[in-house]
Amino acid sequence: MPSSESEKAFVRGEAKKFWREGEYNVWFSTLSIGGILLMALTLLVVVTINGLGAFWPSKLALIKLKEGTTYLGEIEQTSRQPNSKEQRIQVKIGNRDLYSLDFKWINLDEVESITYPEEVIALEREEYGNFYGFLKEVHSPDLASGASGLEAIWGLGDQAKTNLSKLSAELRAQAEEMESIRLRRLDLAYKNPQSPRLAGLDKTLAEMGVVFETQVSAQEQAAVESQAHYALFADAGGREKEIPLVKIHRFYYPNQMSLPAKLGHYAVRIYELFFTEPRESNTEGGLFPAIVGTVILVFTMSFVSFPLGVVAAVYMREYARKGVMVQAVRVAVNNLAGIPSIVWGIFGLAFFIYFVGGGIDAFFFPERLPTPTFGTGGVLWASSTLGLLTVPVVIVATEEALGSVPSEIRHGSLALGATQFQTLMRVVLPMSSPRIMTGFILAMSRAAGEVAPLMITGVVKLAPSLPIDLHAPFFHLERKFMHLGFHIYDVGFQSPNVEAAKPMVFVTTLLLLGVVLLMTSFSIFLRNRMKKRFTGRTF
Amino acid sequence: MDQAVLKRNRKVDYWAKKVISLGGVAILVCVIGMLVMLVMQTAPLFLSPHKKELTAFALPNGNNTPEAVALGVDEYLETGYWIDSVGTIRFLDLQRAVETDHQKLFSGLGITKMRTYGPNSFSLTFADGSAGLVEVTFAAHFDENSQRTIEHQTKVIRQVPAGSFSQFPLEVLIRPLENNGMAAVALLPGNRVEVWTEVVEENFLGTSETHSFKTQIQTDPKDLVTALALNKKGDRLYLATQNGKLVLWNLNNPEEPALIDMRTAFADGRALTSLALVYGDESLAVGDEKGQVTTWFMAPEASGSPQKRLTLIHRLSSHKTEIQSLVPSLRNKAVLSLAAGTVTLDHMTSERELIRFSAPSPIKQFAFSTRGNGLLGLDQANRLTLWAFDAPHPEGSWMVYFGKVHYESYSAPDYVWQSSAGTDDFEPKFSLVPLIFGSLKGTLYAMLFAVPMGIFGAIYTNQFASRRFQTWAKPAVEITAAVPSVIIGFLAALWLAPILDRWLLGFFLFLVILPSLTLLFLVYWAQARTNKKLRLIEQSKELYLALPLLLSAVLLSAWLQPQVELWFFGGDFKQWLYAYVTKDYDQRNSIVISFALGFMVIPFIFTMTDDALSSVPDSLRAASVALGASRWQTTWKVLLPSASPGLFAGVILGMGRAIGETMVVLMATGNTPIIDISLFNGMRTLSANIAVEIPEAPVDGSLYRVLFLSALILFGFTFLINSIAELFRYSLRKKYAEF
Repeated sequence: MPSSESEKAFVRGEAKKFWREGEYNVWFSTLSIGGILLMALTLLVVVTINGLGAFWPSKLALIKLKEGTTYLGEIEQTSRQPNSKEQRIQVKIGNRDLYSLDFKWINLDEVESITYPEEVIALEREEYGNFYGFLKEVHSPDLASGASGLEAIWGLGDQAKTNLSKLSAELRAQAEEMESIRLRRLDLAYKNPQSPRLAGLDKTLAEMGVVFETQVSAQEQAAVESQAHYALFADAGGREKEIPLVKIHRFYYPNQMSLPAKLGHYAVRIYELFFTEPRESNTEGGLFPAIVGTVILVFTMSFVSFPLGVVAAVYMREYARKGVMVQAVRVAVNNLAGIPSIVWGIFGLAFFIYFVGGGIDAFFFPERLPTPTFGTGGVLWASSTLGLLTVPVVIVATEEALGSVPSEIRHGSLALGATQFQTLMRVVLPMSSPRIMTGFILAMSRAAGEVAPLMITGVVKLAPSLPIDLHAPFFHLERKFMHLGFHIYDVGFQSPNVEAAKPMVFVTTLLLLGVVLLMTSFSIFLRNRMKKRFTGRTF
Repeated sequence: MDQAVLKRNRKVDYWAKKVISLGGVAILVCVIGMLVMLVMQTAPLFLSPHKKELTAFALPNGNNTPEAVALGVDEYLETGYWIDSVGTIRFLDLQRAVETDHQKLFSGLGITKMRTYGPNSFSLTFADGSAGLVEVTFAAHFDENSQRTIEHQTKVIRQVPAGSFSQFPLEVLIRPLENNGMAAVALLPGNRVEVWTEVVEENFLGTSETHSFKTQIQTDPKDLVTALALNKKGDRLYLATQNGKLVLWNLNNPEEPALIDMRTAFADGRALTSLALVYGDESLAVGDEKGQVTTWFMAPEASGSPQKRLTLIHRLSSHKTEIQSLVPSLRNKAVLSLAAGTVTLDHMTSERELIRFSAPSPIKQFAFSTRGNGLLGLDQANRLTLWAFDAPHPEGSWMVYFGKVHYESYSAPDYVWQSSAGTDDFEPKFSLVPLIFGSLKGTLYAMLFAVPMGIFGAIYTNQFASRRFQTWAKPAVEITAAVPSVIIGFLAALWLAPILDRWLLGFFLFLVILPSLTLLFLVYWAQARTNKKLRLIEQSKELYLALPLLLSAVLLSAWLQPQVELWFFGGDFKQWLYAYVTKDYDQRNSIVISFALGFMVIPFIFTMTDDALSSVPDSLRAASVALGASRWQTTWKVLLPSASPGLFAGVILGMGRAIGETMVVLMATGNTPIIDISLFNGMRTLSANIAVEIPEAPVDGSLYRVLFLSALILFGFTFLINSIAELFRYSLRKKYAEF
């Protein structure tokens, strides 16, 4: 080694240089952005996998334990016991009415065998969640002799179900009509207690009440009759259970299903998700009312947020002279953007619901008091609150849009003799409209995902009726509503069986996340394309 | 051109200008309106209560009429009554000042002494040595036209027959017990106190047997008993004496009363003159000869000592002369005191003197209405006066919201938030301190994670990354800002929290392993980068190596967890945590919050840092590189200091976001209002508290207004934060305005 000394010095110098140049910090910053992106990706992947997998019909395993008991269910996951090498599996055993538990942990070393028998049947029921077991026999007074199998009497059960739901719909219609007449009577009685029409209304009500009673008894009758079609099932341990067909939502043989059959099943579930009502305190069934509620909320919110936001931005960019006023408005906008959403919610409660709503009630619906009409949470108040909350988003986007229109164009228009308003309407706004649109989309996506203020201003777990229907005036903005975001919170945290509700929550999450991310990325994409056209400082 | 068209155009333009200006002003109005609304909802908490004289008239009788021993009034302040010394109860219509009804109690025996437990319930001692408990009730009835009529009823609830005590009692206190039983305490001549208990037991045949017991309570014959108080259940007897002693007896066993505590109340040995049990029977209000009203309950003498003694908890109003009488409210923890004709109403918890007044002629008798909304007083001149009180939020004060308060059944003064409980006589605890602490704690942990991640991430993306990476990474981070908080909260609570719970040790290992692995990697990299081809990776392709590095650190930590757990923590890390670090480990802890809230805040910090770095003129960068600085030196020493106002603005804005965020903290913390900075448990924040409590808060009640107060505090926080951020941004804009 001729120059070990100098080599050492060289290495030392290199090391010093290494610390001085700080190249390692570049790597740490790389790790940071990597971590951020990884986290975002994880979120997306977790939601997507769990959400998409929720409706996939998985195979049912028959698990025989060494001590003799058997369990039937979907194997959800395998994991290691804390502090031991033992593997254990989590099985969804369903049959909540029999076992009172949906899930069971089984240690793998206690298992004798796991098989997948062809004939196992899975039932989606109207109550108590899924049933897993074996079909024993079917009973029905109208059963053709010699026929067996659930398929044979499924049509009969279906018939009974349609019949029942038809009767319920009639009942509901009757009740709604009676309610509207009752409100009319209340109004009349308030305005003129001696009105001769009151007696007529009372008579109509009484007649309708009689009809209602007969309808109720007809429905009860039909319900009792429908119980005659039932099937006998046995669980893995041989315990028998009679289930009326009307209580069975759907049945399938998961271990016999081919891939197309599974895909078909999946498609039907997705259809149900979008177009049917929820069942079993929201943990099963569809999201239809929540989707409708969210859409109506967002659109109603637009009527508040868009005009106010655009007008305010136009004022600041085009009309206001530099001074205290415009400075104050700017400070106000910045602060509006920073106010926590829950504070908006509580403001909405005090201002919209109790002040404005209470005022409307006192003026227009005094006959219904103390039952509030507008003086309680509803779509209108929730969307007004959200509207104010999203105004800053619209303002910022509109300001940027207006700023990106070159002033020469304005001068040109003005020089041609157009008034300022004409310039605005015919030249400036049309030119900036695409970018303003991105602001609208951003505001809508923000509104779709916001939950905290809604919890105070009128969202409910289960709304009896949609805020939009076929009865005049079609839009019932005073009604309470359901919402996808609140659905996640409510089903995930307030339902009696959180573990069993998880698939539904993940599906809802996927849907909400999908909608919000699509809207946001679309607007960001648009904005970035627009940025290339008119480059302007954003800072 | 057509003049009409021009004119119309000008008109339209004029009005458009008006409308648009109005729209701009509307934003300003919106913010100010919000502030005004919040303040309006909060303000009644701090308004001082007031009283109003409703009516006054002289009692209708002449000189030779018997004296009034007791007064009462109904909760609507319409019907009053008085009991005279010969045992007649007379009902008055207070508005018309006429007597409506009278009836004799106990066939007109003379009353020698009257004691009241609360409004409308009297222990009367009669001239023949018997005693009785009388209750006056009022029931409101509404007819078809919603007209209210009030019916009164006088009921003798219990009676102690003459001769039950060994002497003629001077004063008797009676409390009804279950099954027609009762407990009666009598003060007898010669400073003796006797307890007479009647217990009714039902045997298995369904017949009931009555046992009565008579026992003496030991007293010091030289120390005169001045006041007695017996609780509702009849098992705690409080005595106050001339020499300033406060004595508490346990009457649980009717045959053998047990002394719980005896102490001299004040060091100066002043005489105690009056006792009353505050609503709920936990606290005892004591009035003394110097005019001080205090409340006491059993609490540890010193903090941590197991022995409980009667302890002075709250000092209420002080008068100039001795307290003549104390009456508790039956609505809340308020106490009414009378001394030398001056009446004060104090709330125990808040130590607020709600109302203080003296009538022109000194008041000698008074009665509190059941709802605590009015007072009927009789003065020396035999005039009855009715006052209405308006004290809607007596339980709140600055001390309650922001200071330590010694609550009933707590061992020491503390900051507590507990707004409701199952019982009516519960003492609401409205300390905002744990909530503010929770908000700050959540924000702190979120920022610990988000600030370095956001800033460093933005530095890489802005300075070192390729154009292509920039074009998709920036929007990607921006889009994560749009992820609804309810989704992040849900994932944090139901997905992340169990995973973190399972891999807790792995998480801490990761914190150690990642930096050490990176350093190790760098050592090798220093050699590898001499290769020209490999060195190309430093041209914006670092992520290809960093991601595997990150993933391998994750896997390594997961793999090491069982080993390390076995070697260092006896096989169970959580057990070890419990034994050595914290007793209350929570699955939804601050680590989860740090991730979840941090994830929400990162995009803000990222975007602001990125914008700030972009706004620094390129010439600065070029100059630095030309002088031979490395790329990191340029970024760190030249660009960052120049962009720092923007960075601060981003950090501060992120902080504002984290403080106000509701859904994430609502779902992913345990929502327990504790003050503990520990990483291993949760918190309750101001915002989550509003979401949790407002659905149950009665409109315009104290809780409702306190929640508005917390909203106002949040508003204040964010206003401050936004203004600071705006200042920083302004300075940045000004700095580089010329470039």
